[in-house]
Amino acid sequence: MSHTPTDARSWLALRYVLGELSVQETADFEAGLTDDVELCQAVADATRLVAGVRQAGDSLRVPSVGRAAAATTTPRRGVGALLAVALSACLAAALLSRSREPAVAVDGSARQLVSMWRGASEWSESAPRLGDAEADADDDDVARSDDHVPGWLFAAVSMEKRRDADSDEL
Amino acid sequence: MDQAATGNPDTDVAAAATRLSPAEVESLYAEFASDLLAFLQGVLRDPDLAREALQNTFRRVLEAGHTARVESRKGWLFKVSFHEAMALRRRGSQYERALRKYGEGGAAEPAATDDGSGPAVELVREEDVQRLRAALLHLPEDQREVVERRIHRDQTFAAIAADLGVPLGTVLTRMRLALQKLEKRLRSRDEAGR
Repeated sequence: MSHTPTDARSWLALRYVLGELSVQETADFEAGLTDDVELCQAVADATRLVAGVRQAGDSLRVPSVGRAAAATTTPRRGVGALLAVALSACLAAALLSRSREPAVAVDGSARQLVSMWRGASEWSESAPRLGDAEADADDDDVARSDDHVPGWLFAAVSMEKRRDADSDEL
Repeated sequence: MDQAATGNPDTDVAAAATRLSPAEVESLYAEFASDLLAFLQGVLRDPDLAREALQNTFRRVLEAGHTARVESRKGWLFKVSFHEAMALRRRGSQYERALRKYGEGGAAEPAATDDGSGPAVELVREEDVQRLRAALLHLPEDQREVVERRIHRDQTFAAIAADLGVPLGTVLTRMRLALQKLEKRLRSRDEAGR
């Protein structure tokens, strides 16, 4: 297959636009740009071609796995974070409001919290799960949607019970 | 090449009288701005800098456009725009050197803001993008892969050759053949439009 001088010029301009020429080739090419209108036009055409192909290709491409995964895990992370914040707020409010009530009420509150936690976990389990395959360790530090009650909840409740028992003894 | 202000009121008034009218400048802009912008983007590889260079070029047109012969105005415009591009590139290098000197790393010069002094210039028309999209789909698989890797993933030809386990020459030939077809598709639009 033979190439015309125009083809050769277009090809050179394209390699220049793509940054594929060596330093020396680039210097020589740019020297030509100072007084060669056709070469300047070849650069303009090559730039347009590359920009057009880039735009055309962008709309043909399938989103990458990483991007799709991010898109699907974000809502779950959002729900998990929301649950964690809501439960922390409930816990804090419960601890504050129960500090002046009898021990038996604290037990009720603890049961309520545990039951709330389980309910939330069940809800989280039954909620539509997007991108399960992509669920990764990142989600673990926000909130896990498994069934067990976290240790920090037990610790907080038992600490509260101890404090109330102490105040009863006094 | 051009007649800058001389400081002599008589000469300056005479120069102002021969300058291009706003309508003439506007007409030059309509005719050449798209090609010049594409050219500048190819040289500078930065859309913001290319727009800045284009503005500077037309500032020069206002000052000295009348000194170019009508039949060679396109050449004059490319020449001026290349000069402006080189000036911006030098300024960018100086800026980067200054940043390095003060230990702030080699960040690029902040993008010039488009002050909206000129009408928007379209680099690629939507109908061209659609033509190219159709042409891309019709390329042989091996050629499309090279185009995809080089233009969308920004892999060098050498890296593509290594990845695919083929000689560099094969990759270059595939790219060249693909681009000839794509270019032909674009040219067919131009020829049909005439």
